[in-house]
Amino acid sequence: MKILLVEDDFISRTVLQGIVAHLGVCHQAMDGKEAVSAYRRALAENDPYNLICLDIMMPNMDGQETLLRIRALEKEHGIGGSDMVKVIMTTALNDPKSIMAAMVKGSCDGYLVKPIQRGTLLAKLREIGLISQ
Amino acid sequence: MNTPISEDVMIIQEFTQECTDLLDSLEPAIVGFGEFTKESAFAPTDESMPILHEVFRLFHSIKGSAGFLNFSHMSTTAHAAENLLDKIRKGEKEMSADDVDLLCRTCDFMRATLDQVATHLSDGLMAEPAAELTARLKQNLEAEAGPAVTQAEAMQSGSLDLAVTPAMIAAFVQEAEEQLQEVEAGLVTWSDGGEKPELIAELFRKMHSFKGNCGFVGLADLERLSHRIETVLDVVKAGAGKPTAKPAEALLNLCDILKEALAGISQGGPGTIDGLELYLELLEDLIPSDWGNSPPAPRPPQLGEILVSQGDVDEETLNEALATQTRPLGEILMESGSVTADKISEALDCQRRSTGLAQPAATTPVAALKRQDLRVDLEKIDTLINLIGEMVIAENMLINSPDLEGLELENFGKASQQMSKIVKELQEVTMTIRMIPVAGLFNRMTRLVHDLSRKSAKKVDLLTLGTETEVDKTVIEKITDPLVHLIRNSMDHGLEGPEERLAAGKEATGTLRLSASHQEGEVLIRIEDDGRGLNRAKILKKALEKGLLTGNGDELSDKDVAALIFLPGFSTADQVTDVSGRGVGMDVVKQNLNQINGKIDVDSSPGQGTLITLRIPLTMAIIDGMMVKVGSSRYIIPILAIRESFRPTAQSITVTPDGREMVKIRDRLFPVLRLHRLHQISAACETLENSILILLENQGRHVCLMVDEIIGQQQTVIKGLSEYIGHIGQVRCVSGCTILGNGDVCLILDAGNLAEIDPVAL
Repeated sequence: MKILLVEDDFISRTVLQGIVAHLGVCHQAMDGKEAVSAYRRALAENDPYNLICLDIMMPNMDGQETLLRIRALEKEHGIGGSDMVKVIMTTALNDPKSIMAAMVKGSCDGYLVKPIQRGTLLAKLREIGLISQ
Repeated sequence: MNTPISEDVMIIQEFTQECTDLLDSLEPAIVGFGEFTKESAFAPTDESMPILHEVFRLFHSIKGSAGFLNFSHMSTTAHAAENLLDKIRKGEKEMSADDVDLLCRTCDFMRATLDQVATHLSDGLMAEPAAELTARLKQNLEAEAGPAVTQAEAMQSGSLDLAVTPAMIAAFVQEAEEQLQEVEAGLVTWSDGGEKPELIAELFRKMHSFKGNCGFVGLADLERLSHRIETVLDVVKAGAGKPTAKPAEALLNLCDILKEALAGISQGGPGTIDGLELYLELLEDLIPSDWGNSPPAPRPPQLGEILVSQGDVDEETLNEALATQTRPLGEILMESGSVTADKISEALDCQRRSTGLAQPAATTPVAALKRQDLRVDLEKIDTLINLIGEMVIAENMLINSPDLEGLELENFGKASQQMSKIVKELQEVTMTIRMIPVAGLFNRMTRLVHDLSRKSAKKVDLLTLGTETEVDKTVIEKITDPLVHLIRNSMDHGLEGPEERLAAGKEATGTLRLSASHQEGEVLIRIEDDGRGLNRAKILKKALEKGLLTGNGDELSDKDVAALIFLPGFSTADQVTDVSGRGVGMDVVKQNLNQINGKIDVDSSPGQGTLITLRIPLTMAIIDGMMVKVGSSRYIIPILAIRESFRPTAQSITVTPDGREMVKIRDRLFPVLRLHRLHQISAACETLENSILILLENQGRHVCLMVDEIIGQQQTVIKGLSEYIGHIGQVRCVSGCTILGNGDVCLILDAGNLAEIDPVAL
């Protein structure tokens, strides 16, 4: 599995990395801009990511915008349906409004409230079918 | 996903709004799949794939967000729909008409649930339909993977496991002939008038459904040939270069061959095509060699084109060669001596090179248009509009203040004029805020027509025009039901079945035209069909039967007869169908329209169709009014209803023996209605010669209203009358009231009612 962690905060990023590292290749991005270009590169190499953990509040480009751009890129490349990359939004505040926006506009697959717990993240991954029961 | 946030109504509102928007925009796409699956199952093609993805994302988004808000029924149903779509997308299953129906039903369910959610903040009541729908979606997901394969096998082996009855063959031949006819007509236009993208797309679609039909009844030869033609059209459609030889001519010839084969089938022949391979090869030359690998890539230049550009052959020779082409082009040209073998191989090299180069230049991203919208609560806008209304009144109060009477205030005059101007502009701008395009409403009708045409087995093309026309949101809400009723009526009573249409010399497919436009402060919505029209005799007979009419009705004009169908309890359908016939529909139409001061006109010519026009005032909050005075009372008459005003001469007035006063204007007589008698007030002048007559028109009816004097024109903010006054009926022919600058209440007259009153009965 190829994973992209998008998170501006060093500690959160390291925690995430620790949880998912054993699942496969794990790349990191500091903000939305980096994430989009990483995603674009992966598409060009024909080796797209399977999972993106995306922080909502980030400098330069926030998670919402990033998600929309990623979905637009997929559309451009004719990627759709269950081939779309699974995206889990991570958010520091339990802000239903922005989660709703990500769900409806960006078709994200789930959200997690920080601090991220190993158990909840792995449960979520099982729920969206990325790791087996 | 366990946070119970049901108290967070805002979020739920946002959710329902967003989801409704998504459904609105994607439902037509889903219905569009219905077109593909009409005749046979359909596997997604390159061009339908993005739509499929969009629809998938819709259900995915609903699944996620509904799950987040704990609307579990919605979420599970969306999940099932998502699974079904994914299977179709991956090509593991073909999309059948049943699937499309199911997806449409899922959309309906989503809408119903969203309504529920909006009011009850829970989808608990939808448990049953959700379970049923989910079960059916799952059933389709599993069951049809099998049948789809067997169907494909049946096609390949040519043995018809699916019982294709002679009746089906006959139906197929008939339809296929029509389709070919249309294709032929399109090809002729193409070769005459040049290439137009819409035309090619249309041809492509027709050929596609023709191919589908052939496949369905197991005619392999016809299917192969039409498939190849379809590919050629696809090449042209994708703009992959314009082949030097016009493909239109070649395709026309092939149409003839298809027709011959069809004729053979209808006489019991096997439906094979002699020399099929030759035709296929001929078409192959029109298709770029790399077609199918990367469809959007530019087409490499044809051999002929290269030769022309190298100056080895002139275009005329080339076209000649292409017209007779049955073998590779190079050979023909060499044989006729117009070019040498060397030159040909040089050109072929060149062609290969450009084919190689054509690959990387794929996918050009299309920048999506970004809408700059702001979502505002309707209540806020209503408050704003109310406030603006109050401001208009306040402005009137200020400028016409009694304290200022008789004063010469030059600067005040200037300032107040400036203010009036701004207030008026402000008012206009606020009005436009509430305006939304009718596109959404019309889209919903597309779906309705699709459903109805399936139910009634009538073929209908729905054309929508002027979808960008903007109408007040309330108006849209009010005319949705009438529009549904009218379209149902057109489909059920107006349009005939295919046989009847063919017998009447019309095309088997009926046309329903739905259009919107602006005209003089009104919105016109037209529903036009080319069906059998209204049956005067039948309507009159029914009206007499139901006691809605006295006498034999011979003296009624066609328009009056048409108006009868809007009476409560009127229906001429001999039997009540699922679609319409209970006789409540038209009544509702009229009532709803009355509520928004709309008018309805019916024009019908027997055998040619019916045109129903809805005329709705642009806005219902503020009107241009003419203020008149009778005795001490003031009234507002909507300017739009006024035709003219004049002081009658004694000679122009006639009194009939039964006491009816008539006034003659340009050799036409109009009835006179004395407003003071209607409202039982005392007027300043009782004689017609000294008063002023105002000619009002409503739906072709006229009446001259007698008033004392005209005070002037003014913008009038409509305030509703209280239920009490409206219902008791003490005040007749009044649609509302307004508050004048000095604080007085002034009644607004309803021209429609005025024109219907019999002055003698007063």
